[in-house]
Amino acid sequence: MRLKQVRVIIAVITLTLALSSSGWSQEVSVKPGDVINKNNYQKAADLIPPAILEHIKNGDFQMPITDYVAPTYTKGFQRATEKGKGKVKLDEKGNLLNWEGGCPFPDLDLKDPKAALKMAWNRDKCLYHGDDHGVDKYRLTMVNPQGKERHLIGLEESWRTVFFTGRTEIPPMPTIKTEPEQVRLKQLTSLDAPYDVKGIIHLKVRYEDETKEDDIWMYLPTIRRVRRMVGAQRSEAFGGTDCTYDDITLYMGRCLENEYKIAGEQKILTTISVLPPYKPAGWARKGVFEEEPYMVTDCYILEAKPVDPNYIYSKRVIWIDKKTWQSAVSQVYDKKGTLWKTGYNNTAKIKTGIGDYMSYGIGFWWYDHQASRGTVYEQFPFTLCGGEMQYAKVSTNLDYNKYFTQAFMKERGER
Amino acid sequence: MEARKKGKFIVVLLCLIGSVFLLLAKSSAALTLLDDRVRITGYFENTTGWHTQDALAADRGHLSICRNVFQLDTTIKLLENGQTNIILHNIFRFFYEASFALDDGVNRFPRDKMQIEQGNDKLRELYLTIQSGQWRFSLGKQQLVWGESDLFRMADIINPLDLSYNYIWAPFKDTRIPLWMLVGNYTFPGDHNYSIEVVFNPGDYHSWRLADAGGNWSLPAKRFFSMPGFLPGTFPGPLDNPFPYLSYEDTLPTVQWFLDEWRRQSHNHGLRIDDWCAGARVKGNFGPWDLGLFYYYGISGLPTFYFDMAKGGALTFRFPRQQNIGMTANVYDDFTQTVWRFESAYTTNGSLAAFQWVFPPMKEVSRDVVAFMLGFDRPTWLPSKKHHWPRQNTWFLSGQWFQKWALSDYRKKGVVIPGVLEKTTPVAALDMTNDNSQTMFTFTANTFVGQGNKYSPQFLFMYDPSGNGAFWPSFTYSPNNWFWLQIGYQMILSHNTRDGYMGLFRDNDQAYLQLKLSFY
Repeated sequence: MRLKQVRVIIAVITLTLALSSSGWSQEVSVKPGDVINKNNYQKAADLIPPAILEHIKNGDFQMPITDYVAPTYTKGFQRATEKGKGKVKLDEKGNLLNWEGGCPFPDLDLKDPKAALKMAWNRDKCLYHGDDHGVDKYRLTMVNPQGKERHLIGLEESWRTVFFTGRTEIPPMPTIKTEPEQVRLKQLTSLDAPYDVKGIIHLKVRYEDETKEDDIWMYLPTIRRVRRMVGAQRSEAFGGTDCTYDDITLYMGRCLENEYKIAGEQKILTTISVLPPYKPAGWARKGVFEEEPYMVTDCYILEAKPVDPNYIYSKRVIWIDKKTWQSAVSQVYDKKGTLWKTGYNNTAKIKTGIGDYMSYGIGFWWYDHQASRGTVYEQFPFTLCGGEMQYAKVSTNLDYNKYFTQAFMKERGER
Repeated sequence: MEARKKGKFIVVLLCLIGSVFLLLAKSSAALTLLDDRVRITGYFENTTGWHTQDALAADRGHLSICRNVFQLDTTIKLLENGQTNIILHNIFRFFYEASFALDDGVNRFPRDKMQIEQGNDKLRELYLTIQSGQWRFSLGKQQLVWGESDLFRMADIINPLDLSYNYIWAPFKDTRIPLWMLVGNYTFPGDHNYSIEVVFNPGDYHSWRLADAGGNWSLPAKRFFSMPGFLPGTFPGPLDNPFPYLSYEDTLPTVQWFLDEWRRQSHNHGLRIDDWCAGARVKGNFGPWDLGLFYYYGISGLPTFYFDMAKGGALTFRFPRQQNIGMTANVYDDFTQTVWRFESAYTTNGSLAAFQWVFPPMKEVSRDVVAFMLGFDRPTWLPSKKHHWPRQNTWFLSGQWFQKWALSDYRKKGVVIPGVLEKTTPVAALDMTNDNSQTMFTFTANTFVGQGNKYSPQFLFMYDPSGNGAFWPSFTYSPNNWFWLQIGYQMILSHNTRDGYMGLFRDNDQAYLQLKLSFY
């Protein structure tokens, strides 16, 4: 009788665990080395958003499976995370208190009433690009329903970003103090092609105060001067592409502009870590969907509902890697609640300016299911002297007094 | 016939050039040399327009413009070492006006003049930029643009304008006349982006370029004798044509003589140190505000003229010195989600020609002018039942209020320079009353539709409360990276021929098609 009782108890426990919402109980029927294609897509049906699964079913692309490799952070980022453990809090409005870098809530308790917002902050701060980063060459490819492409290209000093808070690599740490408002980051983006956008330079200043809108200026070659722009319309398309300003890297908007809910957990196939050997130098990508290594990634599902009723999306769903809080996949819904777009993110391991290694966002793509077209962002890799492939210069102590001035915008725009 | 054959040959040649461009453009790659140190981009553009009204004389249905432009933009990196960049920029532009060859109905009077006068800017810009740390220098033939305004020039006064081929419809980047000058800029490190910019022109002076008599946008041709304040109501006949016994063609040689004298007496002949100009601008961020102050000591781009009795009554043009002092400001307001722009300028020692009822009939008078512009920019979502339209783009709405005053009392004195001040309807037959203020409102709305901003509708309105204005709708189609097509209509609205910037061009409405093939 006792043995029977033990067996029942074990069965109940097993059944309970199997029925729990914990992701690790989700059975995964793919393994590294498999290739998910139109002949066997069913076995990955619970690992791929249905709208994307349709494209595999149609033979548009296939997903080779590789081992999961977690994105990595620098030692400085990890130290800052450790230092802030238990000290970082939320104020009554949801802003971070006592955060000085790293992941704000590494040991997130899902039962915490504010777990969803804390997860959103983790995602936000773990979208990590070092203390500064510079991309020289990039390309945005727009693919129309017929497969024809058009591009937006930056050829030199195309992205320059300096973070003024949460610095973990280069002094001053953690903050470069600014007056009268504390700046969070300054970012310069350049376009060199095609001809009608050549020389457009975009400067963004984002503030620590979540209620303060970004300040934006643009150098416009058609008027040969810098013009102040409105920072509020970040849900507008970037340069005619299928992604908005906020869609860059899946979500680059402000954390407190949404209400959040943890919608569950799921293992899905992502491209969150691009593994060596990296693509050869040059624009390798054709079309939106590409055969690149996918890995089973255990994710939280975070739903974000915009507070602004004029925002173009009614809802944004983000699959967040449990281990690293990186955004892996996102889906957005239109005002009627219909699925509109799906986006995938990827990172690659690069060497920073101080000799450390970290995973850095090197690309993303969005597919518009309603218009049957998509946009891909890629960075042009280059080889360091030591033979290592790099996609960007990270934590190299960029001169923020040089890049984020109207004089530099004009000079860069006239090249 | 010979000219017609030559014209057709040129058109065929242009088509061939355009085809070569098409092939180059489809390659979708800039020409790069020397390991990306030299980059060459460019475009071929054709603008063809048709009169829809009898502007000057039986113009309706005839070509108003068939301008072909080939432009090459080149940048050459001479030094790039992470600290200092030295880059040579140049723009070559060639143009050919084909309307004379293609359409016998186009007034042929200005044909040769146009090619000569506009053809001397093949090397449109050539300048060297040196950027090192907080410093930036720019030396050579270039444009320098200050200000916050679209269309109104209070701070954007360093380069004169070429209004000869498309009046105000062409972008200023294409109509500003580049000048040889040295520009230095220093931005102070810190949070406020304080900067100081200094410009020195060693004497490369150009006056504004107006269309030759009989040309498409010829300013004085038809309405020379009915310009503001000039002999209004003095002679029998309608105000539009106080000389009814003269035909339009009869007036052209006189008007062209006037313009030729203008050009001969201006200093458009190389560097003259006596014509030096200089200015400075300081800017900075103060909280949410961008503020700037500027000063420019220059030479008026438009002349005054009078009859010099010491030279036997010879028509004499003078290009007076002017001092311009002003400020600019912009701020983003979160409550209205709008960028507000402001620009103002005070021009001292401005000289004008005025009519008087004694001999000689013209004299110079000086006046101070103050002007300001207040404008706004607001990207706005256009709601519809299901979603916004366009789905992922706002409508960019931009408006401006422009106001100008002459501070001296010009009542009963008259002002000849057209378009500068308004003329009110005279109370009495010989009343030379002149309003000493000018008001203008502009409003622009545009958006982008489709992936790659494939379609772009735009509307521009201009309104002068004295009773004139303009309306310019256009639609642009750009299906790929190298092809761009625009169709539009330029409409002038005015109840007489003397008011504001538009009255003189009443009845000059045009429909146009513009094609651009670019390569990058």
